[in-house]
Amino acid sequence: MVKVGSNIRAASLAVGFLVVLSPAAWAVNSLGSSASAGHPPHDLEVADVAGWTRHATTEHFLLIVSIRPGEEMYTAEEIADQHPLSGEEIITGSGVPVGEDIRHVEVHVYGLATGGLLETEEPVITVVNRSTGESSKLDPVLMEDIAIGSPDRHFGNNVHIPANSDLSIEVSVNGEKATVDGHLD
Amino acid sequence: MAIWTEHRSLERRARDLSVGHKLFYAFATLTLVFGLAVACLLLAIDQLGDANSRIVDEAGPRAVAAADLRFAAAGVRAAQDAYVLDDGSSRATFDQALVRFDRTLDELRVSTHGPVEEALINRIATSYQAFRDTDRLIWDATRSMQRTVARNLSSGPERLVFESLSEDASLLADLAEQDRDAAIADFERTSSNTFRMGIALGLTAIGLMIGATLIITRLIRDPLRRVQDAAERAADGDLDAEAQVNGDDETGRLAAAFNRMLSTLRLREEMLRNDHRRQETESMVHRALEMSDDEQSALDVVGRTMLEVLPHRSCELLIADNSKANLEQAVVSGPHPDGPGCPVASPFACVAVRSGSAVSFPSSASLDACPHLRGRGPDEISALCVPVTFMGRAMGVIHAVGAPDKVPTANEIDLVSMLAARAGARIGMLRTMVRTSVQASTDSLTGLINRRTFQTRIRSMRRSNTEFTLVMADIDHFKRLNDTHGHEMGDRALQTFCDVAKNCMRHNDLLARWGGEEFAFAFAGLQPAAACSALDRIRLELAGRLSTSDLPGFTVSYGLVAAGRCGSLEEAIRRADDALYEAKAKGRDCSVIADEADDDTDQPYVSSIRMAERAEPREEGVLAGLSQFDDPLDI
Repeated sequence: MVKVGSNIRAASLAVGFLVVLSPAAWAVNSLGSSASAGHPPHDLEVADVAGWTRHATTEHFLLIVSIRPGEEMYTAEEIADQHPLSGEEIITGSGVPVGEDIRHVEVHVYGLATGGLLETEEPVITVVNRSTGESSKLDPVLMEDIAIGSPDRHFGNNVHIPANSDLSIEVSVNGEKATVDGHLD
Repeated sequence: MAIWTEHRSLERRARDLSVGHKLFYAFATLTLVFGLAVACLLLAIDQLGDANSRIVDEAGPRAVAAADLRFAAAGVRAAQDAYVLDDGSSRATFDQALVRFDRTLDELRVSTHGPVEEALINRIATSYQAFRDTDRLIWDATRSMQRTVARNLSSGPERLVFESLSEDASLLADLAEQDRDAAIADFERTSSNTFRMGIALGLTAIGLMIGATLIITRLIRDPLRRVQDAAERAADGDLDAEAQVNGDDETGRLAAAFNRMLSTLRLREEMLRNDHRRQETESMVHRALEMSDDEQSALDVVGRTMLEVLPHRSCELLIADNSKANLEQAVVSGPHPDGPGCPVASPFACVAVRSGSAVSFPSSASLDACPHLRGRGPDEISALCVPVTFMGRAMGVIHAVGAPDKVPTANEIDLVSMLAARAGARIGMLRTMVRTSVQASTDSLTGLINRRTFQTRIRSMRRSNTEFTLVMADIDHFKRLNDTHGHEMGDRALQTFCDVAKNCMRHNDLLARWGGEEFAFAFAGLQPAAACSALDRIRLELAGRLSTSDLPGFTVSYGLVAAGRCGSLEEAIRRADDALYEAKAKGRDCSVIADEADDDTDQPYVSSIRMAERAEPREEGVLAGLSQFDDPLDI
């Protein structure tokens, strides 16, 4: 039979050992937490910023083709109802909802002769994913940025494009075609 | 339980380590703790350096570059607006702004890491390229003086591209700034953690050092202190203060050696006490025996000593008689009133006497037990036999019995041996003294007391005012008897007279050989006349004895005096001797009382009994001198 006093002494030794070593354990844990301090301070993903803006010209048009992360597209009623501070206001057409791998492709059409924005020349926008070989033709929507307003009138829509894709966006305005290539991160 | 057993095993092994190993392990533990603490601190310092490097080498320059990029973009746009809106300005400023932007963008490409930042830079790069492409259109329009077109392009697509570029540059600058702030926060956190870790490691190291110190102190100091306490108690006289032995290290062995030393000291002390007790007992026995003036007193001392030395054993002293052939039980002690009852008959039948030293027998049933132990009873006994000697000659044995397998201790055997030696010496000396005294006080031929002893005793009688009649006697014509029949016959005549006289005397009467054929009598409580009657009986008895022996006939003359009427012993002797002379003169074989002779009467009192009428007449006179033992004349 083990003596009670001996058990108490052994327990005291164990507690003392733990008490003595707990600061060391805490210190090692602190080292670990310090070592983990190399991560980016933001919660942005590549998909949140992936995109580009490119320039193309045809005989009569200057095309500014942009691809950005998917943007909410609101109708006038929705804007009146929800009062969003960002996104696109649909002038004509219907927008594709935002979702996974949804990108916002937009084309600003300017006339080379005047340098002005053309709202009436509706382009035909085709997105070719060279990485996958898929091709999708956008249902062009005339829209403008809610914050900028009419100076930002452009055509485009949300479209599904996986990340890390090599793209070709073909724009045809009034029969004049231009293609911009780029890599989507 | 297994953990507990392991703990006990570790503790026992730790106790058994030598002091050197304990110190080694303690210092090794402290060194290890110190090394771990230093390693952790170095690691923390390294992390602190990394955090600092991230600020100085990465996050800081990147934030600066990102901010520069934003400003460079603004500068580019401003320079573009300047040459678009101001007809006379050149593109030099714009070109410089472009160079600055390119350089800054290249710096960012090099320094930027992370997919988000890279994606942003890609966006900026494409936007910048679009900006540059649009700018060529604007420049072309400007150079062709299509100022409206140039302005439209500048405020339309170029603005759109620039805003995209500017937003991305701002976002990149914000991210870089966040990264820098995070790096600074990381540095501060690392610094704080390093500080806290240093405190924690220091506390841990101190705790471990204190623990190791306590443990090593407990393992080294405590056993030493126990030995010290025991030594101090031992120094104060407590020889039972043994040190607790824990472990097999130097201190444990020191405690064990100390305990052995105490054990030896206890043994020595016990030996000294036993020696002291033995010496005291021996001294007491010596004094007691010295005060014993006879053998019985000495035997009483022996009995009491045996009872004191062996109180629970039945003891006896068997001692030889004067013949030295027979052993007799002289004294007993112990619980049995009759003593052990050893049946040994003679000294040389005793094993102890033959061996000349003490012999102990654990069991009477043992094969090598003394044969005299067997048949004592149904129970086994143990026995101790110590020979009693005097001058190297056996004279007895002290015999003690007890329960089986419980022989006396060495100390008890020593004491009994001492008692045996002392008793033998004393009893032997007493016997020698008695023998010498007898020899000095008696006549070897007749066995009667000699003249000096007689004088001493009658002096004692006179001092005690005891009335007695002093008689001087002389065998008539003894010289002629010697000459005629030889000295052997003369000696036999003397012995026969003495034997007859003793037989006719009372126990309190005295008879001594005065010298030669002359004797002295002292009849206590008798007047001379009554003493004459006693002498007459002697005369008759002598005649009867001579008539049946081969001795020649002889007679005895007596001179009597009442000693109480004399002034001194010498006077009494002289007057008795004078009376004897008178008896000789009157024809011998008669008794003459001195009183009558001193009264100057013509006829002194003469015994009427004359048994030796054949005795020849006196030829020579009586020698009455007191100093003469042998009468040269035959009267």
